Amino acid sequence: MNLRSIKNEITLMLIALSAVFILLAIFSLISAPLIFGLRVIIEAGLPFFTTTPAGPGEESPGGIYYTLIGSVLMISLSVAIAFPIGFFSGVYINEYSQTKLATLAESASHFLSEVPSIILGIFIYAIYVLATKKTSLVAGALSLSLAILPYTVVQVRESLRVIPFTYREAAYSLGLPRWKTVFFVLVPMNMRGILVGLLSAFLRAFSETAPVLFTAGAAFYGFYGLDGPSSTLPLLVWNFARTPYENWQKLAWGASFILALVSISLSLIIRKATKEVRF
Amino acid sequence: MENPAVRIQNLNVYYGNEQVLFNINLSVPRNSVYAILGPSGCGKSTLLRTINRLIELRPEARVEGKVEIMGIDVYRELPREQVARLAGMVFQMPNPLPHLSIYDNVALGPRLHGVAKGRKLDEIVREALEQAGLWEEVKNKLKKPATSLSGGQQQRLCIARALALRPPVLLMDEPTANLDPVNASKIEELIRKLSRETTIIIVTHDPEQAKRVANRGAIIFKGKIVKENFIDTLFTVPYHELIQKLTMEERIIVEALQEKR
Amino acid sequence: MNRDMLRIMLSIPGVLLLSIDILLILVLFKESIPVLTYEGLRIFTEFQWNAAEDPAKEVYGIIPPLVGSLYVAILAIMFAAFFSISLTVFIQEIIPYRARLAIEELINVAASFPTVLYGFWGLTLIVPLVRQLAVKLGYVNVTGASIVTAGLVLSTMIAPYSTAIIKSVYASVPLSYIEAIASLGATKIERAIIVLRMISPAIVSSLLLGFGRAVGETTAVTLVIGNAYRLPLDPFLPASTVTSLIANNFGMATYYKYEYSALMFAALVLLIISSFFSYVGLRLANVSVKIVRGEQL
Repeated sequence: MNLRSIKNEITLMLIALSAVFILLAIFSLISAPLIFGLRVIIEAGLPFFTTTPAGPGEESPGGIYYTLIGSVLMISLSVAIAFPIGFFSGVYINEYSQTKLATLAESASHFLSEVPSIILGIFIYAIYVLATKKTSLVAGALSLSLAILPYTVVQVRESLRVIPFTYREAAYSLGLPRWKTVFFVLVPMNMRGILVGLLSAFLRAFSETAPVLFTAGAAFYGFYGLDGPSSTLPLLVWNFARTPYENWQKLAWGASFILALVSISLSLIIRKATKEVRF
Repeated sequence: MENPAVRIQNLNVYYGNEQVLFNINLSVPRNSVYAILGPSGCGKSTLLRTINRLIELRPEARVEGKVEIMGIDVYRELPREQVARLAGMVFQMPNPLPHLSIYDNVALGPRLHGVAKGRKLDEIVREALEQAGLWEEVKNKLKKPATSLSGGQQQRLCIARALALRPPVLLMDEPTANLDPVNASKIEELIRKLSRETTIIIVTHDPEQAKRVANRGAIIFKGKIVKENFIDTLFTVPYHELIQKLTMEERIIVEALQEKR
Repeated sequence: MNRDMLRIMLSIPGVLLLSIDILLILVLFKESIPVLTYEGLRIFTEFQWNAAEDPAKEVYGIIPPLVGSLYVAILAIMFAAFFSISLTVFIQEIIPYRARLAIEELINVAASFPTVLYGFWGLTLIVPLVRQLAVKLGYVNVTGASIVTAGLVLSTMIAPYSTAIIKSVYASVPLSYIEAIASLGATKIERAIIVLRMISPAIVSSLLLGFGRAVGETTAVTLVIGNAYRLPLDPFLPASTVTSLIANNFGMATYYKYEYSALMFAALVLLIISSFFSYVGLRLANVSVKIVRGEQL
């Protein structure tokens, strides 16, 4: 074996070892909440979904009932706010791509996507929470909508952009005005792309913690309306994972299981749907 | 033929389950130019890539038979990396590596194989560029990026790059297909000159080019050799007529088979 | 509905987007003013964070957590670079096709995984490991939460993204170049190294983007960094970043006169740094696309 093949072999081993190392790390990252969390949920049974968190140091972890409600409502609200804005922005940017506003809007969207998510939270805090003098579910939803808005814009724009020009030409030649072409021909053509955008928005809203840290409050023990403090699953994990009590740690793992499961499922679905776009 | 530069015996090549080359047998005499012609998709590029084992880049490719360069069985007696020292390759689209300078492009082969360093490497690069007829044009800008050259110059750079390892055989895959007529004829002249010391196998779709540069050749149709001879004899039936006739025959056979079903 | 009406109606969301951005920057600026008028440049020279009832005693210095943010981010991209380059070559050149799909799915899932779970995993698995390592290195009485821990956790977070970027650029290098390199007798590994050099702007670009991300990450970092306010000269000791500073203190900030403003200013600085690296990263990405296409630069 000469120097050249020795160098080759060593480099190969180095590459393989570090790749396997990081893959193992990622694998442990993803399976930890699945395994530990599932164990907690099985142990706790149905009450895990229907009760409130127990006190510190008690036997059972309690449940995540109100947090589940809070999560569902907050995410739905944030998507309801962000998706229409993102959708129409995406349409505009694609349709009027030569205008200055389109370029500006696109840069604005990109800028927003790069803003650290905690800053989104303190922004909403400054303009909404301080004004209303309280943390609330709505405030949380507003923060989350800022986080998901840029992704929606990009998704919608892309789904329109990839439609071959011939379809647009065909619609015009049939006498359809522009707005009908866009909304009744092009958008339905790539419904899949639009839906993927919707799913991605849900996924992002579901997984974010930092934006809601100071806007949604930390209400794990009750539901206080849209106007009152609330909580989400990531927020629950954030709060309870740092405590020294074993039952609270278990609570965090249980919530992590749901977070992980939903995140994995949505990721796989989105990936699968993105692959099949064909015209 | 005694001591051919390249000898191919009973070569059958498959991509997965599909066979693309059928029972190829040919010998290429030393220090000559050998042309391989055929319509698109007939397998001539595949054949060329089988000679230097480049076909192994495709994981689904399977090679059966024997390929010898200078008497060495390149599939059984050599590791794949060493074949480059026996056969260099030039491609249809000039492809100097864009992130490297002119010098570094030519020096890439020798550096990979640890052939030379420093002054000696400079000499090798110079020699290769001179052989490719490019030295005078680039000697003062060796460190410039290779992409700063014109198309014709880039192709000559690729020739120099292949020659830097001093291979006895040079494989050329339609080297002038993407060049204008002026540059194309420069390359053809280069080919004639190089063939005095190097064996050149050139794939081309242009029978006139084959007549201009080659001594001997083979016509491939649908993966099989249909004619193999000295260039003058090869074209006793004009090339295009031959291809037309073969295409029609093929069609008749295919239709007959379909009717049978 | 005529053309102009449509256009006007459609442009409203676009204008909204733009306004949000502008408003955000303005708010950060506006809210930073109080602490700047109170402390002036001392906010860069003080190395303490003292929220006190008596406004005269409030002192805020953002340099220690800022250095912490940069330190963590640099470690994170160093590790991430190593991992994502290896992973790219591993996937593209070493493993068989079937295994490739499974690994790509794994990476894809990791890229969208909630960051708080990264933090929780870091807290459970990485912190004890770093503690063991630190003890071996002679540290006594450390929890294992530190700059190094945060760097490792963040590198695991960045690696899926940068791997995806590097891999896609790697895979899009034209076959012609691959054939040219192979025809010169390069082995698989040698060929991979040459291609990596060819796409190096893309690699740097993905790392710069990762740096921007790392600097802005909150939950994963705060859970494992130990949240001690200090200038992080020793990477194995607990420290803090701008994001962990905000995460830990913002809740109570309005009770004090200047802390809210100080945190807003810290956020502004964070935004500027993160945007800068993202911008540079993006510019480089365009350069690398040009190289792969063989265009003149």
